[in-house]
Amino acid sequence: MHLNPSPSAPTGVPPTLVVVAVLVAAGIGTVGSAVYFELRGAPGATAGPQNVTVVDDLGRVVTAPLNASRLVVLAPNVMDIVYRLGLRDRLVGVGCTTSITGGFENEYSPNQTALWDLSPSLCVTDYPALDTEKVAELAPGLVLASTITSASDVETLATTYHLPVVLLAPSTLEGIVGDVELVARLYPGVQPNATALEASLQRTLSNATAIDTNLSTNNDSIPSVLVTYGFYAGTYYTYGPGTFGQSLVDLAGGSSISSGVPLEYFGMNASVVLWDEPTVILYGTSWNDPYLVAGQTPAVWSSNAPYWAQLSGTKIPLDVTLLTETDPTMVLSLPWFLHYLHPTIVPVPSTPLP
Amino acid sequence: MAGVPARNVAVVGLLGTASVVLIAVSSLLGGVWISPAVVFAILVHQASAGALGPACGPYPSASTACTIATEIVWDARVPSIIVALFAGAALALSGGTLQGLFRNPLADPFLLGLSSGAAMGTAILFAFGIFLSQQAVALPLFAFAGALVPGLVVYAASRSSFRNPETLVLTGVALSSVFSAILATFLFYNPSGGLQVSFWLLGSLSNETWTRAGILVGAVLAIGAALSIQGRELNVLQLGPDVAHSVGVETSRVVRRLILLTTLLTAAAVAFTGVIGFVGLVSPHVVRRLIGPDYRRVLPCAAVFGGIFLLGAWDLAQSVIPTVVVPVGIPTAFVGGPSFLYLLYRRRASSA
Repeated sequence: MHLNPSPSAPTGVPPTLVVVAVLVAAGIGTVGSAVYFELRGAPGATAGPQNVTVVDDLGRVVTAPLNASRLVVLAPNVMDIVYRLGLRDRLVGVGCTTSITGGFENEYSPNQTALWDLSPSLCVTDYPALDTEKVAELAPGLVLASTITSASDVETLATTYHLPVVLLAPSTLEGIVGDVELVARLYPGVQPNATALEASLQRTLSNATAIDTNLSTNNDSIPSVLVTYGFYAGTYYTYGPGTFGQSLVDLAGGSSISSGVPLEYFGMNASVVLWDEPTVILYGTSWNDPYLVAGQTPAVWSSNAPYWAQLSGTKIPLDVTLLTETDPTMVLSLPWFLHYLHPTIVPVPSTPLP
Repeated sequence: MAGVPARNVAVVGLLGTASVVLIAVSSLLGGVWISPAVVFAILVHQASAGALGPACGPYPSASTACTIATEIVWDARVPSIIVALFAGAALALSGGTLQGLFRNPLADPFLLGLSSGAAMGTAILFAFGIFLSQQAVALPLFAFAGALVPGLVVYAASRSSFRNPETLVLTGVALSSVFSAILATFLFYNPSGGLQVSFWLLGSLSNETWTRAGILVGAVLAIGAALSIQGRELNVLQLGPDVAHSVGVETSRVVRRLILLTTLLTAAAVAFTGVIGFVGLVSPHVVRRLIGPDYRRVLPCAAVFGGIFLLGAWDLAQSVIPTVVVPVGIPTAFVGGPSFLYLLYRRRASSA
């Protein structure tokens, strides 16, 4: 029956189907273009006198709209600045981690979640890669991120979706002040808040430097300090030279026992800690920081950390974000670091620990 | 034939001497430099339960320095040395046994998926944040239980009609993939504890205590002794199952017994040290080159060599930057990989 098929009979995909497929694809493409066009036409993304050009912390030159009404924030340290400057009402999306056990709250402490009024509906998944389509769908006028967002994701947002992405990744405590100024340039309306915050940060840094100098001049004893954010198998994770953890200790008039190790983040042999007998041990606790160590409460520390009972120094638990998030809160916690390291000389600060 | 025993005696003497020298060197290495005189005094004093010599040599006995030095040398370094020797022995013994059992020179203790199973066990602990206050006990238990799962599945398969050695190896490989996928899923959806799991996967000897060392020594002595006397059966298995059967070796029963023993032995080592590669693969090959293929000699000598290898790697790990703990799996791979290649190509060259 099929021995002599007609020469005109289709041997592959019917042409009709091909035509339909092309039409459907064109339709989808049109829809995609419409969305894309709409995004490009989002408020603040248009060129003109309402734009401002800034250089971010990575030296990238970014032209962004002034006072963008729709703001996406992809890092907790940036969120701290945004909140302190009174820009919370511009927030339409926030970077967050989804996980089996922690969900949205995994990346932000309960305090931060409440203070910043964050909810899962704002979540733009950022682990293990940013959901760039979700960010684009939000049509933000500005994206503020840090280096926890991968370079490729930043590139995608900037080139594929033409979104202005400004990276706030300070390398020093003074750089945090610079970040406040940078955000204020993007939002001139919050300049009074920014000026006040910058002044407060500068004052805190100057005071700490003055007290530190005074302690040195008076030959007051310099406490040896272990700053640790976790432990595992006979080691204490700690900070080496060039890190914020070490800068805080230096500025607070202490001497870190890990200052001689040529690494930034590493596991220090616990026997070295035992031998060095640090006067003060600042140890990070967390609700469930996904980038550090799970659930390190003081109870977990005291029952598992190596030689914990034998370490005679003053042990002070700290919210681990004070050691890791490069934001104004880190700077404003300096008076407390001074007090922790010099309890008999520096009184308890009048303001609570941020 | 007269030369063979002499060579074997020389090899045993060499291994024994190397062990003693390495143990002495290891007691001096760590994050803190403590002079040999103090270390020696502490070892003698503690080993004699306080009967011999001053507690810390030149240090005053009641000083803080003496107390801390004793903690470091006697309660941290010595247990680590013991665990290194016995975990290395366990891995080498398991690797040598599996190489003989499956007549596969690439077999190592993790051939049956035990490392993936153990890693999954630890990932459960950290990903779900359970028993965090009892990590010292929970971590080895979860790792041990995780390692047992694939081992026991393969053991069950060996009791079924699917007991062909190739099928068993492929079962282990498949299980390893499945457990690796489960591990990856845990870490993908919950990065909490990823740091610890990563560290654990590279192995460590920096958290050993007398209790942990005691448990491991007991397990290795009991299971290792049972494995070490399987040399004759392994020798016969090299001739093939038919020949083995003809000389009275019940192949299937031997296979089951060896799988069970290697599973228990490897799981015990992994539970306390994490996954340490190359020791179980390289040690039997090195020993075979030194004393020949007879498994009655290969297994005990491989056990001693494995202990020396792991302890040497641990010393190397502690010497890079003494203050910083480097996972011991890194030097074992750095040393083991090139050494293995050298042996491999030298053998090929000599046989060409």
